[in-house]
Amino acid sequence: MKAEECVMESSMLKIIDLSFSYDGKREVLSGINLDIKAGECIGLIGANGVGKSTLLKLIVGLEFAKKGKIIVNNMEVNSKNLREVRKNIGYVFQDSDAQLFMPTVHEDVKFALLNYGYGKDEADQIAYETLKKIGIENLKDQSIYHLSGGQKKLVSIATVLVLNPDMIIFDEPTVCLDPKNRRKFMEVLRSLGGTKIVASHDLDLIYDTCDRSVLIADQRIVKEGITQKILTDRELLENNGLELPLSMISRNKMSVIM
Amino acid sequence: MNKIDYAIMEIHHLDHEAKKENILTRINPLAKLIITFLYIILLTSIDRYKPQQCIYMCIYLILIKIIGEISMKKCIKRLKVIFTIVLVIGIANPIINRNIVAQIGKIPISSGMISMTTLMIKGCFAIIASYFFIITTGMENFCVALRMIHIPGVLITVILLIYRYIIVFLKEVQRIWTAYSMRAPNQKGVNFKAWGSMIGSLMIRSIDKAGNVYDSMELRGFNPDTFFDKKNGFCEIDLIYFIFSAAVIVVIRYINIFEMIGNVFVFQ
Ligand SMILES: Nc1ncnc2c1ncn2[C@@H]1O[C@H](COP(=O)(O)OP(=O)(O)OP(=O)(O)O)[C@@H](O)[C@H]1O
Ligand SMILES: [Mg+2]
Repeated sequence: MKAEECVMESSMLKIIDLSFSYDGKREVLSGINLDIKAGECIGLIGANGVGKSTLLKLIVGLEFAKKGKIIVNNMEVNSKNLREVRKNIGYVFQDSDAQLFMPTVHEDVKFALLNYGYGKDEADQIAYETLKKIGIENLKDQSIYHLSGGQKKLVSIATVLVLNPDMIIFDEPTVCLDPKNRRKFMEVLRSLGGTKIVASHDLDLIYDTCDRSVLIADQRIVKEGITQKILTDRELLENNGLELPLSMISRNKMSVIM
Repeated sequence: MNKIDYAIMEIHHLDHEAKKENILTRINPLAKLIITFLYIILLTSIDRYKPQQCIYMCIYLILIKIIGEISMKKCIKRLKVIFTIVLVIGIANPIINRNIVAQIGKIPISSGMISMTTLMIKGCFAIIASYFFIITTGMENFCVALRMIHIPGVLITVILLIYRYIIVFLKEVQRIWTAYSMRAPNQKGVNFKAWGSMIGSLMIRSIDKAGNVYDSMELRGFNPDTFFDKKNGFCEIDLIYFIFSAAVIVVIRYINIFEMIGNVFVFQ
């Protein structure tokens, strides 16, 4: 009993035999089992349309599966304890346009803080510090609707970091980011405590930041394990619609030339 | 800047101005809401053959304009369409009601013309008062005020969402419009054959977007029952504002100030 409790405690996210379909006919995900420990950084990879975003939406309770269970922090994700569950999860949308809605950057970033009962001055302070952490404090008073794609991405990352949640889920965080901001994001990601799940086609990002990776294809988890092993397995990747990370390819080429 | 961009900017401008620091923006939104209501009710209760009475009511608007540092130029620019509608509606009066009641020089004045003038003044003043309220309060605080009078949180959320939805919708219009015109460069406007599918996809896309926005709000702890409950309670300054404004409105409505001042001079 004690051992079991101990296991339960360190598990941040547990997915048990989960199947999901949007229209009740075609299954997008089927028989998914996954266990993520507190503090891990997990990469979620797979070709376009395999259901990465769908899985993430299920975790935060934006969609509900008819079959299977998701347990976050020892709480089952269902409509009853959604608020409790979400309090500890941050979610960066794939589409930043969908995530931001307040008139200015600063207001959007502090929106969550005000909802969770922070005072105005404190919220201002924390929001500003978060913007500074990502290096976009100069955008503070800018209108959300006049930001570039990459700036929107950075702001939506800030809106989530601001609460310092136990688990953060990033859906394509580096899309639209220039090399410098991408590097900056990687630094921020590494410096974050807590559990992180990163769904991305940027395999170099996954390679550099995630301890463990999960490869999805044909509605299932095809492979799960140490990132360095999965992302260097050319055959596995190619059989599932992916390619080696760019840095691997160039490294291989270099060794051929030499 | 195209028209849609301009419209979005205008909406943001309203939000922005409501956040300006001055006495009025700091007043409790409910106090402002009630005062605005009071003003409009007393204004509309004025007899329709007494336009001079209406004119006194502008004293309140002038005071608010000065205290709230509101630009009248922008106000007229933004509201010109509504003003035009009010004026057009008033024009029907002299046609229906042609009783001659007075004469200025050789020009006969019908009772319809007088009621038209009253109606136009009332309409414009009421609109300006509402505009002043919104521009010094902001949409979010307006919702807070509604919550204070115990309007259900769900209903208020709908109001706030519609307000946010307008921008999402405009953005979507802009996107679809651009995508269309890029692929039909030789056309002026949209071919009528494409209208149906364009409006359809516009609806689906913007509803989808609005759903995402709501998800995003919920994920960040938005709760309609508590969100609007944050700034309760009247403090001293709210009370002073309330009593002072109510007094001003009642005085200019029921006491004929200019006549009184005139009488004082006559007696002297
Ligand atoms: N709202 C929806 N309704 C119906 N089907 C959907 C919906 N959203 C996604 N799908 C379908 O579900 C499948 C998985 O989509 P999902 O967005 O999860 O893929 P993804 O792995 O995130 O892809 P990408 O790498 O392109 O972001 C796709 O086949 C897609 O067509
Ligand atoms: Mg996706």
